[in-house]
Amino acid sequence: MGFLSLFSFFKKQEKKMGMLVLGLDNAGKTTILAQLADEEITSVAPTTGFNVKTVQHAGLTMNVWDIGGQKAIRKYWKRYFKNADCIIFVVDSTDQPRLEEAAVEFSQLLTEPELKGHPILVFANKQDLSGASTAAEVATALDLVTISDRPWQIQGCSAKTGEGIEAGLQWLLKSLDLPTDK
Amino acid sequence: MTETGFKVESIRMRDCATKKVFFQEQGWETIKPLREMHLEKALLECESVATEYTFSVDTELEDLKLVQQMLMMGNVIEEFKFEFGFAMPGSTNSFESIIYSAGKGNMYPPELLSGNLQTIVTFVDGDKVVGEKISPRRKTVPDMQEKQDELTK
Repeated sequence: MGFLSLFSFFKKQEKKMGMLVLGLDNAGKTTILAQLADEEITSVAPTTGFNVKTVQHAGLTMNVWDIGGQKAIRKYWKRYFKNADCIIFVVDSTDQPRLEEAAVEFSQLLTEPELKGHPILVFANKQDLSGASTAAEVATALDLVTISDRPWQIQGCSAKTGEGIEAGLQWLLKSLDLPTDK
Repeated sequence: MTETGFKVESIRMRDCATKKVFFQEQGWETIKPLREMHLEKALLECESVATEYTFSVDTELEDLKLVQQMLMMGNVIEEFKFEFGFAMPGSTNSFESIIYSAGKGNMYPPELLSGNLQTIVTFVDGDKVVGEKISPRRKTVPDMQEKQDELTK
């Protein structure tokens, strides 16, 4: 069109996809967000609101929303459901005493009308630490096998080392049935 | 600080390829002209740049948006909007977006940009401005660093 420009804010192609990262406090959501954005991992303070990043992956642009998981602010999660095409639920696999609490929050999400049919990926995080429950154990705690109304997947990972993150993301993108470059 | 207690805590820009942070500013009002001048040259050489805003609110906001405009000689040449929607009371939040270089040959030459480029960043709740920042017209001096080096010798 003949105009010069400074930047193009977005590559023109795609509809941007929304991912919501939820889970109890200290599950590792913000570190997973940093991994997804290919950032260096540093220590993070507890999230008291949201962190949203535009992430590029395989030619797709995604808005990834990491929402704080402290008990007092979980009631606000639903305010962000409209941004989501899919859900990443993060579990601290070393926090066995709170697995049940995580399961309660998880099962609540499955009943939300705004999230109906949305693919859900569960990261069984902190697999690099000794004493972590396995992905299978976390799957059992969350009763994943009973889910029949949406695609779901359990993936062991370490947000700290990055192990398992890519595999989980690949599954999510595939479950959304989106065209990719690769 | 506004009545909603809205406050930008920091702004950070980094090169997506090298992950190098080449600009970081705490708070809303602090502007460091010399660094900004040098920044432009670095910016123009990056294929993609990630800009992160960290901001806090005291009272909840229902319909928060970010509007970022680039002005050339007072005319808007680029505009970018992002809708956050709800912001929790007493929260600190962050937003990072990526901008891509338009590519060599498609961009304004640095000589033309020099002293003519402005950025306006506005945070809006509904139709009410809760935070705004207008940068000074920036000068792009490619050999700024060399000149500075000479001066400090």
